Amino acid sequence: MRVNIKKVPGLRIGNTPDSAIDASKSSRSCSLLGRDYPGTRLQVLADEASPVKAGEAVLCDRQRPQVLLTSPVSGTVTAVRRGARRRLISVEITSDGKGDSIQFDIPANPDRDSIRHLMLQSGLWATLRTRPFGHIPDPGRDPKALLVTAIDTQPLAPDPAVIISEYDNQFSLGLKTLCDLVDTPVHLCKAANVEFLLEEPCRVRVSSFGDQHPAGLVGRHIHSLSPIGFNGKEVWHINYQDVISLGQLFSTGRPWYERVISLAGSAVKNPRLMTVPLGAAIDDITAGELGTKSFRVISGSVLSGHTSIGHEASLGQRHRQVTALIEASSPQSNASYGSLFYAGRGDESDALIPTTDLDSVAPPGILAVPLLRALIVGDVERARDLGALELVEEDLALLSYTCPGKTDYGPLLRNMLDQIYREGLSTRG
Amino acid sequence: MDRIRTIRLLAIFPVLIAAVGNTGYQYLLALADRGGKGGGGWRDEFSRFLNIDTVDPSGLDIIAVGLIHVLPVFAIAFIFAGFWERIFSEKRKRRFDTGVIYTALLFTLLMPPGVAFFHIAFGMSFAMVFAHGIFGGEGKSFLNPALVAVAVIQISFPSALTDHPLWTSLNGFAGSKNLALYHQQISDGLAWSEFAWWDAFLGTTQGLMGTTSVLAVIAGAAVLMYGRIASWRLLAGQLIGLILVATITNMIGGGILDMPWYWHLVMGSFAFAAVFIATDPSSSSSTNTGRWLQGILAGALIVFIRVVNPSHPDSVIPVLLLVSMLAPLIDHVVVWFNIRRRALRHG
Repeated sequence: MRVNIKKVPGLRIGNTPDSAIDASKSSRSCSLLGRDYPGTRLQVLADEASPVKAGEAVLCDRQRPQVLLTSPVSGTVTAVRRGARRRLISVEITSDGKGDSIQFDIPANPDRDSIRHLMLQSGLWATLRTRPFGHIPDPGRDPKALLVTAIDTQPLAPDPAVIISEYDNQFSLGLKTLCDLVDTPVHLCKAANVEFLLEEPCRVRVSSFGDQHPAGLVGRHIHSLSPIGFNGKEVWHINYQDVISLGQLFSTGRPWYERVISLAGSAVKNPRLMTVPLGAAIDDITAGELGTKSFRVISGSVLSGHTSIGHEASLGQRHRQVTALIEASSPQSNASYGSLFYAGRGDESDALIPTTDLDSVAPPGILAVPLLRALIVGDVERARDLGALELVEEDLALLSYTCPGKTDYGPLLRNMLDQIYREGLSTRG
Repeated sequence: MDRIRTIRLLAIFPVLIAAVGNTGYQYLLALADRGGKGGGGWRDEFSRFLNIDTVDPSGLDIIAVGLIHVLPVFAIAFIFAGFWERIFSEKRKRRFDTGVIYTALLFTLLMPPGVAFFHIAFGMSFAMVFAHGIFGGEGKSFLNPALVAVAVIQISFPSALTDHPLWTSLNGFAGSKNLALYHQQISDGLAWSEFAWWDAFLGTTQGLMGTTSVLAVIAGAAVLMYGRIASWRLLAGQLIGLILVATITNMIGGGILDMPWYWHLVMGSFAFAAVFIATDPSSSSSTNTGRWLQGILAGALIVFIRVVNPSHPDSVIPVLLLVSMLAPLIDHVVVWFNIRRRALRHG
């Protein structure tokens, strides 16, 4: 299947990274970030100062204790940081450089239950995501479709084709495992200009989308392949690098604890792809790579990533790129010329002006302005009826970027999704 | 936000130039008709003070006289708009909205050259308080303040917006000399040759200051659309509505009903208001389907009221007011259909 997705006027923020994986960096410490697991209350299993091996469980979901998050390195848990209302911010593991890792038992006959068991044990279950909500799926449920995202169109993102060709065998084994994991359709979403050789026989359905942003957003794929309705059925999706990790797990008994990311952006001297540990500290990734003194580093893309700051300055679990931008000389430089007569507090965002721009970057089938208004005023049912269940934060990134009122709609959407989930409003009465 | 404001000012600039040029030209033309004698008033005094050559005016004279008419109106409109915006931004602790410059400009360009200062102050104050400030500023109000200002003057002082008293005066016709002439031609059987379509298109006719030159308005529309502020759907919708109803009335025929659509287009303040007022994103429909509907409705109603109600030939202002008020309703219907379709499609 081929779906055309209209390109959105692009951003110019530096050179695209070289398409060869030419560096490998280690990191003194790796972190698991609480914000990567929305809707999950995490319980710490490994206390501070306790030694852990790579693959050993560090966190688990309080409601579903079989869902584990594992350490990507061997070392010592050096910090467990909590924020407001004891929400987990991060668990930091300092590497001891030994590389001890747990060897998992590969089932002889991988079937639905044994695959699930091994994925849960090894922490790979937590790489799956549901739509609606973007949560970790419930191990007892089945999706109505499983999507493998092998396309990344975020600005300056690495080219999945390069990475998949490097880890060819693992990727096909991972795909095969996913086909055994669910009985429902498995879709492979790829860019239009890329071909993957799939092992036969294979029930993976290949769909190609455009190669310009926002064609790589999972929300767009789900909309055209298996749209979310109000009946409570969910779609699962997984990133191509996590599929490689799954393939590695089922061939060697150890997941892949590294990821290939692109380091790029206007502040980067030599934009390129590199292999780094999962959850690596951003400082270690960017050390010696930036050509300027004042910069801002973002884990993820410039549109939907997180500014690397404080205790959350490490590579996000779902981020495949680090963007470093030259920071404008003064943070005030974007102040409006209305500030000549300024009487306000400085933190307010302007009103939403419904220009036609917003409609042109809206997710498909979504009325942009009515949805954004529902998000701003907090009208949960209206937002749900207008299609909020099809979306997560990254789908609204272009709208936040385009909106003249400088409102960030991602957190508003997340609050709303949390409320829909909590109050069981995802089915329409 | 600043991008929107800058582009809007750029877009209105050609119209401003056309307004200055044409107002000066018309004023001097009228003076020449009367042998150089003005009808008194400070505008005449001031142009005499500047030694304007009324018999054989140069380009500079035309511009100077144009500025004498345009600038004071704008200055007063801006002072009053800025005053109220300042008070509201101070009280509400928000940023001073520099968009008031644009509001004052829009308002100025919809005024006749001889407008009384009291009317400007009254209209602008009313609009800035009741169509802007109390809602919380731009993007929160559902009506365009410039539109409301013109409308409230039109309602409160029906004779205020007729042409400059010095010019060929036709009482009872607000808005446009062309339309007035058309009506008079119908009733008096005058020859329909006094002006040509190209004059009306280029804007060398009498009328509200900014609305005469359709050419300048088209330039502004191009800027607004290039800057992705005005919706092309709204503009196209208005054009379609206008052509549709004009064609129907042509088929019925008789009197003003015979006016072809390309005359409707260049007459009155249709072109100016369609481009600068109707497409204001905050007071128009916010869905693409809604924009089509709203545009077609506006274009159709303008022609309809023009031809069936001779006492209000330039129906643009009340129609746009009505359509702006209908925009939330149109959006409501579009949203309802969207929700229903999603529920049906995805189950």
